[in-house]
Amino acid sequence: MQPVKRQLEAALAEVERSSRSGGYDAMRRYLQLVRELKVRDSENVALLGSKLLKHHRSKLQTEELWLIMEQVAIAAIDTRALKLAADLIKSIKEKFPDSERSTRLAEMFLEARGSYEQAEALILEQLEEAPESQMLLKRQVALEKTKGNLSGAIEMLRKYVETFQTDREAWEELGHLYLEAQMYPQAATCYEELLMHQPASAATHVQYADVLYTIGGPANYQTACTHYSAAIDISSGQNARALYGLCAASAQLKGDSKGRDGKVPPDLPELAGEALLQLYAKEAPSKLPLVTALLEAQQISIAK
Amino acid sequence: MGDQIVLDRDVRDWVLVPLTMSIVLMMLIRQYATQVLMGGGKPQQKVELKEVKEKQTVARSQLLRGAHVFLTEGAFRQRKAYLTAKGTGALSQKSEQKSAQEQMLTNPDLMSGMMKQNLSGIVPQIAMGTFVSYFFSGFILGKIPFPLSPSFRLMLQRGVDLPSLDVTYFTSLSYYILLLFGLRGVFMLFFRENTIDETQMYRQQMGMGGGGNPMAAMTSADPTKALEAERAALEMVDHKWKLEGAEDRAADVLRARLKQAPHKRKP
Repeated sequence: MQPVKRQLEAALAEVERSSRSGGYDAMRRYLQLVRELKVRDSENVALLGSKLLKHHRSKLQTEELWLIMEQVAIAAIDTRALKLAADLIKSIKEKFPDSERSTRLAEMFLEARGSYEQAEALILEQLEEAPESQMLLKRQVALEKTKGNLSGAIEMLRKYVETFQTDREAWEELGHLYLEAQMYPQAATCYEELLMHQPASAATHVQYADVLYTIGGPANYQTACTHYSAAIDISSGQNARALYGLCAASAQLKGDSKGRDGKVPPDLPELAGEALLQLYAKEAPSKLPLVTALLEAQQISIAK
Repeated sequence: MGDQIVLDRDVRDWVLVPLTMSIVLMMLIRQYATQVLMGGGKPQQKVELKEVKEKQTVARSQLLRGAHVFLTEGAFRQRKAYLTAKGTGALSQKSEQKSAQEQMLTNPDLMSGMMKQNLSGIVPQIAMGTFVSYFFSGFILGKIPFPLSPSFRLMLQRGVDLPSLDVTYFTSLSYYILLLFGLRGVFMLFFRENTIDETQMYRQQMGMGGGGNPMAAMTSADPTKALEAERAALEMVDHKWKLEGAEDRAADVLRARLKQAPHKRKP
């Protein structure tokens, strides 16, 4: 996470520095970086992108020009600069009348403007032609989400993953939606799918363990403990959430005598607690007492 | 190299320049002809959702076979049952995909599309080859500025059969062949196809094969058999849990870490 942020900041600083001399290259590079890292930094993108399109449009290569137009259009929708978005989308639509991507942009614009029926009609019309368009199927889910229709969004996305079963992002989103709807066992299934896709990511283990912990029950606490441990193993003890989770899950196990079958090494909670304290002492010393209090409440004794 | 050959100026005016021009023109015409032929029909064939689903089912099963070690036994069994159950499992279904032969029979567009592609490539090539060898063969066009071993004679002196001629002279036919292959790269720069469409790449990544070349579809074997094979492979898999002992490993990691940098504990 950190390096991404730093890269962006460096690029922004570069833009700042070269703004005297036009800043064409720096702005272009920044937009490119945002595209490559696939982050969403809409405010800056809308600002710099519109500037770039206004002053240096003729300097851009055709390919890059349209990429930037798309990028800025989306950012403009995000920042509710609807006038700018409308202009951009109109010219994109003129250039690529049959493209799925320009349809998606038009739909996003309608959605942002609040004309949901129109947006939906547009998607359905395009889906007639290309029923396998993942982009549009996903937009459909997003539209339901924007409308606030959670169960509708879940239904749509479930249908989607039934077909596109190896789409990691879709499973993740479905997991989020299930969590929002408080359907934890279903969410757990989604996160299991995610776990298969990226077993080396500490975050995935932690997410999954969180869901299991929320469902509760000795067996789930046990599994949660295992996955928190795996996350600790992967992140070499740097993931605070995994440490917290481990403490909490093992505290629950301790309370429930049936759940203890000796899988968790007896000193693991203490070790996790200590690692937490160490982490806080380094990163946020002022919050140390809070952690200590929490650990005490969980009856995790820290060696003197 | 005392005996240099003096080339007639007319060779330049009547062979080198016209030959180059005609090749460039030919390639231009071919380029546009291909565009017209291909652009007429929709290049993309429609992808059936069911086909996609089947391919994705196989992919998911493969993923499960590889990565099930991170799932608990219950989760693994649930997925295995979904995929392999007799009669109802996703992998036990009859494939809806048509096999390659059927596809050929039911979709004549596929055939004619390939024909068009091949024809527009081959016909001009033949015509051009005949044209060039008829009008421009047997001329020496120039000399390359570095020495070469005699084995290059075949490559550089096509059309002129003179063993006593120095290898560094090249003939018009060789020049034609050189241009034919060499100019392709140059033309690619001029006629860069439409911008790289991410959706297209996406499609390919997801293994949908839509719009891809028809040859790929031809090589794939009977899809029902593929499902069957995947099911058998998945049924063979016994659950193993890789996270067994993760707690101990975590404890080790934490211990090592704490030892490394013992924090100052405040009372």
